[in-house]
Amino acid sequence: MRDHEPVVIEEFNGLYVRGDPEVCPPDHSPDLSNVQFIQSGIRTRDGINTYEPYGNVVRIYTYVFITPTTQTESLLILDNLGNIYHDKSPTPWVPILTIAAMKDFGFANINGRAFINPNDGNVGLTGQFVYVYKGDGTPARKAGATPPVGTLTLANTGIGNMSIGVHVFAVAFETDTGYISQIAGFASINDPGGDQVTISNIPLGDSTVVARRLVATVGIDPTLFTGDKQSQYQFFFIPEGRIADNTTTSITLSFFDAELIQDASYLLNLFTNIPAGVGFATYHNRLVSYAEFYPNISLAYVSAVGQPEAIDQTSGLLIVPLDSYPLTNGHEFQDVLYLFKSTRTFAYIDNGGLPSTWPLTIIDSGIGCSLHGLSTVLDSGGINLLYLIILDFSGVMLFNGAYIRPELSWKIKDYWVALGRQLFPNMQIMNDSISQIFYILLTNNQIVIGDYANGLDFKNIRWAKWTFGVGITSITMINFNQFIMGSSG
Amino acid sequence: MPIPTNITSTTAVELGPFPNTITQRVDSGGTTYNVWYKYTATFTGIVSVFAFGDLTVYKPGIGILSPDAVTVYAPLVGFIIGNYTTTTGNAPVQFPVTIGTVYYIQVLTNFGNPTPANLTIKGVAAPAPVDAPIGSLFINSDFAYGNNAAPATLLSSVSGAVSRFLPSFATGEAGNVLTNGVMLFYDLTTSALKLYSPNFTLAISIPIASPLMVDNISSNKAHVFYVAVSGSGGVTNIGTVNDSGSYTPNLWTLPVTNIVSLAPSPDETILYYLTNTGGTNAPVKRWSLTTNSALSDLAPGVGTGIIASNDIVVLADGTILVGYGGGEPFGNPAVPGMILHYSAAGATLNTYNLAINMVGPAPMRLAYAVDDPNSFWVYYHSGTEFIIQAQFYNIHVSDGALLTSITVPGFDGGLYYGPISSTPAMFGPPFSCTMIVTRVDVPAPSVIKTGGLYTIVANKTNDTLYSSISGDIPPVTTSVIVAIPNPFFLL
Repeated sequence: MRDHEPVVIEEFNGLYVRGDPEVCPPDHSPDLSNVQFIQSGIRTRDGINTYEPYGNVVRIYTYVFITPTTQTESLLILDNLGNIYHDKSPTPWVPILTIAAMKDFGFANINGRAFINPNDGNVGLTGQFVYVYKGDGTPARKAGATPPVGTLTLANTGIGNMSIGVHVFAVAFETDTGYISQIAGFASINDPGGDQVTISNIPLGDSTVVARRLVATVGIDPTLFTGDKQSQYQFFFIPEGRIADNTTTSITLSFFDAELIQDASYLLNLFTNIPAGVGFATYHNRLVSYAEFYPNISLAYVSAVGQPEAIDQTSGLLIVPLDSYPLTNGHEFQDVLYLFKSTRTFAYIDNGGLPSTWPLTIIDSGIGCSLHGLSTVLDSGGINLLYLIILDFSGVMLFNGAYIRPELSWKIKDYWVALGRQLFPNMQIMNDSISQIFYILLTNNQIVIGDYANGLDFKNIRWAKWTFGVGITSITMINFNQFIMGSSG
Repeated sequence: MPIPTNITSTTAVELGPFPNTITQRVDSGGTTYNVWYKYTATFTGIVSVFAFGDLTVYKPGIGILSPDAVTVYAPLVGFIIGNYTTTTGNAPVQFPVTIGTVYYIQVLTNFGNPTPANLTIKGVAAPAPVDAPIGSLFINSDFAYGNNAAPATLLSSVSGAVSRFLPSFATGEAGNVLTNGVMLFYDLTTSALKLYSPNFTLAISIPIASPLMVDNISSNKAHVFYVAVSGSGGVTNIGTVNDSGSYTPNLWTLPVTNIVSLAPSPDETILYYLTNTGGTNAPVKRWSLTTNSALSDLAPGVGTGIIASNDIVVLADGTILVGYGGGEPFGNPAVPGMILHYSAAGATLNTYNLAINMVGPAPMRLAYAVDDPNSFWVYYHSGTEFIIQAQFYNIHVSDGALLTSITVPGFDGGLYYGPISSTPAMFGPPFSCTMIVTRVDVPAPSVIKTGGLYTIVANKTNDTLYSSISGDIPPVTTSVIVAIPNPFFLL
């Protein structure tokens, strides 16, 4: 045409859905799907292939479990009937957990064990508990354990190192997942000093119990002993007090009070089983479970350090401001525990004290994160050092302690805000930092990719929509950056 | 050669996913070993496994065990764990599988430590179902082996190729079809009459309480089935089931038992029937359906030692077909067989001698053809004790001409009984029992895309999606390749 000046496009920069289509820059497209970006251009996206024939998939997570010789990456798969399968278990088609009402689940991978939070897609499933799975195909069981039943029998026997005074003894179960239960079986004995103590009638546990742990107080002046064996005194693990079986019912111990170093008082008030929440975070080697079922939707439970199943019923609580909205997500970032609601962001800092004493900072009262809307990197389940990438109602946000504007999804704002908010809990984001692509599962069973090979900012990121002949319900990565999608058909 | 590592079930080698072929040397130091494989089903459907050595020295047999390594699953004839029999040598075994279930495969060596023993074992899934046009042949599974190892099968009436398996169809010896395609079968597994729609969907199940049982089923071809029920007082009661599933029992009472075949005349005034009471040489008898009384025999028996077919076919012109021959114990020499064509008055109009002799033990089956009364179908077995073929003939009534002749290997209890070959048929019909000729087109089940786990494959130019087949019970999970949605299609 006369006077027409050809448009030279050096680089195609993807989808642009913001304002009138007429304002779409020439190197963008207002509607384009199923392409991926290559140097200076685009091409049709790679095809998909079948991976594993688990049908009616609702949620998938990458789970690394430990065998005697190796670590193995695998998948945990929830179907629409409430069955969770482990694809690399010895019985991959036998559910490791079935809860018919389970619509979704939260997941944490700690020391090769899978922690499972059954939920309804919004909050923890009413009347349900956190489960732990060992990765060996045996069914997942409720995390925690029932405390021992019965009362210890104590007797002074022989010559030993016991200090003078009243010693209170108790016992806990140690399970095959390493959990040490709440202590019980309290009994006391007035030691004259210089003897041993024979402890008998030590309770036996169920098949999950692999050891019993005996605890004791230091010697208490008999004139000051109140008789309250359970709540007045500090307990310590007895150095030789681990009985490495579930059969022995009697043991003779001798120890100086000075040997009682490792505090066991945190075992006094543990949850027998942990109420189910909507998800997990980890922070300072603690497990955090958040959004219990109603009305405790703003509660987060924090475990003891290195004891993910040990949560104190009073001091292990974080109470996020009660605004009638449930917690939705959480993650440790730059030594701070961040907890999210759909439009709120909170921060807690470990002050070295009990979790219930940790100070709260409200970071943002307008931006939050959806249930699966916090980007993890590759197959790690972890995050980048310098930023979090978060799905919010207003867009895809970069977070480095504060939310960075403009949002990453600035170029596709109109498309983003048109997504159905009621389905935000289903949205999910994964970050393939090797290919430098975000995969975002949308509420319409489609995927949007964000290619940031040209830069991770709102201008240089390149967006594209991907569609498939089946609806996608969940995404994850395995073997570093093999992208896996779950479909319900 | 080292001793094979997979000589116990605990060290079984995974053979899947199918299709897959593995070769292995299984002899070492003069000993030939039994070896183990296993298949963890990645779909629900029908598979076949074939262990082959060579045609002269090493002729391995196989047995399928599931859900553990001690419970025999298939074949249900000729296989005992660790006990080789010649019937299982170099022969495929077809069997249904359920997704996620493990099927152990014991490969047994033949006797004498054959050396060298080079094993080739392969597993394949049954081909996807295809259209079964009107006139296709349908064979259901007999009771003894059930659908566990020998699912009901739709065959092409041109080539004999399997069009489709129907693993949950009724098992037994009695069944018939109307011209509208509705079928009625007696299911020995559940002791019930089962009415199926023309597309093989179960419509109605009618329990037949023990000790009663259905001896056979015929029809007026239009809307009514005739059902012979015995087991009460030394008589056989004849009832009807219409194509809506309404059952009216005990309409006629015949003072006989063991009715092996029956059929009404076109005007439904006479019931022709045969019994095996007294063994062979049974006459073709008649019963008045109007007066509920015996009539004179239509025709005498054809000789001692010759049994009648399990079907009487009354052609649309009122003439009658009865088959004779077969039924000898398994392994006996093959014998001649024939079909006699009678007029309604009992005169012999034609004698159709079978081109190939019959081998037992299953008796001959007859079925009316789509072009009734111009032709009919006969189904029987030919061969020897260990090589048994299913013979299907479409015979022209007027001159006995063979319009179609089909020979396919039989799968008895899931075990291939065809000629030994390095490339045998991997799938085929069960040995028994009832044969019907379909009266309507049965289209291939439609493919439904289903859920599953998917992964992106670099440079793959299409999408492979899980799919299932509607109409098959249980659904067959397979996959379908589709184009990647058009990048320039506006969403």
